[in-house]
Amino acid sequence: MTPEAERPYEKSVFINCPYDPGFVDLFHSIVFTVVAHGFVPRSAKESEASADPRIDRIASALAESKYSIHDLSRFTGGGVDNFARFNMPLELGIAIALRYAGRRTGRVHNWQVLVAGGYAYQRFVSDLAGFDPSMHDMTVTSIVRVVSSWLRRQPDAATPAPSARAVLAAYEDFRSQVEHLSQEALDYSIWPDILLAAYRTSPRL
Amino acid sequence: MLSISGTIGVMRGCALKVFISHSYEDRAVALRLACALEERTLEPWTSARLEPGKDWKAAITQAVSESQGFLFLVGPQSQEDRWLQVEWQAILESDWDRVPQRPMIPILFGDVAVPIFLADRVALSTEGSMDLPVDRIVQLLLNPEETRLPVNYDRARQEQKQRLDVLKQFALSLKLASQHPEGHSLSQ
Repeated sequence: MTPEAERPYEKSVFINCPYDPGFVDLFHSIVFTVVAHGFVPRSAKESEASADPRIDRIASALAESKYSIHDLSRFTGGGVDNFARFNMPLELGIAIALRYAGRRTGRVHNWQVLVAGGYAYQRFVSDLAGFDPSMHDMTVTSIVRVVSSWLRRQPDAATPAPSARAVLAAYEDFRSQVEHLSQEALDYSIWPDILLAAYRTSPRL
Repeated sequence: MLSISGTIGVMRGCALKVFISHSYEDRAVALRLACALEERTLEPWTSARLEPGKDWKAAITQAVSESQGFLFLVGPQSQEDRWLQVEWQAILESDWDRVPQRPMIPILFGDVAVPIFLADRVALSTEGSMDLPVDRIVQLLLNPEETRLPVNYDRARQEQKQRLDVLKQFALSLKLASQHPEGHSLSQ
């Protein structure tokens, strides 16, 4: 476990989204937007080398984060058995529980839910009715738009926020660095290197 | 005080469309402000005038996209008002990549902080009274350049550097832990 000073609760944003190849841009664009707005992305990927059970590692990282972003775009079945995957709703549930627990402890947790356009979410996760998830169309621009707008409203946001043009322009550099890292890494986890790439390419004021 | 003429809110032959964002508790104030703006020939929009049964979110999205300026009535309940947060999100999403961005004016009721995303905007205060500074609101709406506060970029760059340094240190500590997984456990 890393020292407490290196895991600032107020600046941490836990990202819960699919890692499948078709969602790589979605994941990376959220990571980059979080960094561009002065926050630290947290993910289940950060503790893959740990021997602890995965759910413990996820719950721990979530509890150490004041904010979390949950993308529910991948809601259909997949693979040979066409199973739906419940990891993302499970992690969203933990975040919602943290928010309610925080009312007693004063340790607030704010969460954002993203869905790909349309209102299908009202059928596959009808309990979210009334919470108005942020909608995107799976493009980088739309994801940066909704995540940026949400982050800018959070009490710990950096001001002034970077312009849309600056974030999108810098994202291309970030993406090419991450692609290069992925090609070199083979099966090796490159999460810390992705964070360092975001550090290097994040738009400066 | 400005002298308000009967056509002050008219720009290029059409009335200036203004979105009034407010919580449910502030709907009476929002309606009063809307009337005052209409008297000055502006075209205000407020969810307080939505008819029951309307697609609330679609109406907000349309009004946000058509508006040329935004007024944020900020009271003690604003940050906790879920519907108001939806309005704020819609406004920020709509304005995100606009150049120049449209005027946004926070109007504070009571001892409340300016929402962080409006920290670089000129905020108006009712200073404990229920009197709305309508003339000043109109003046700002018609002169968007006056709604921006000067930004201290030296301080902003310093804060950005500090935040990015935190990220860098965090990433490096993860990298170190991944190279020595035997010492990396939640139980420690």
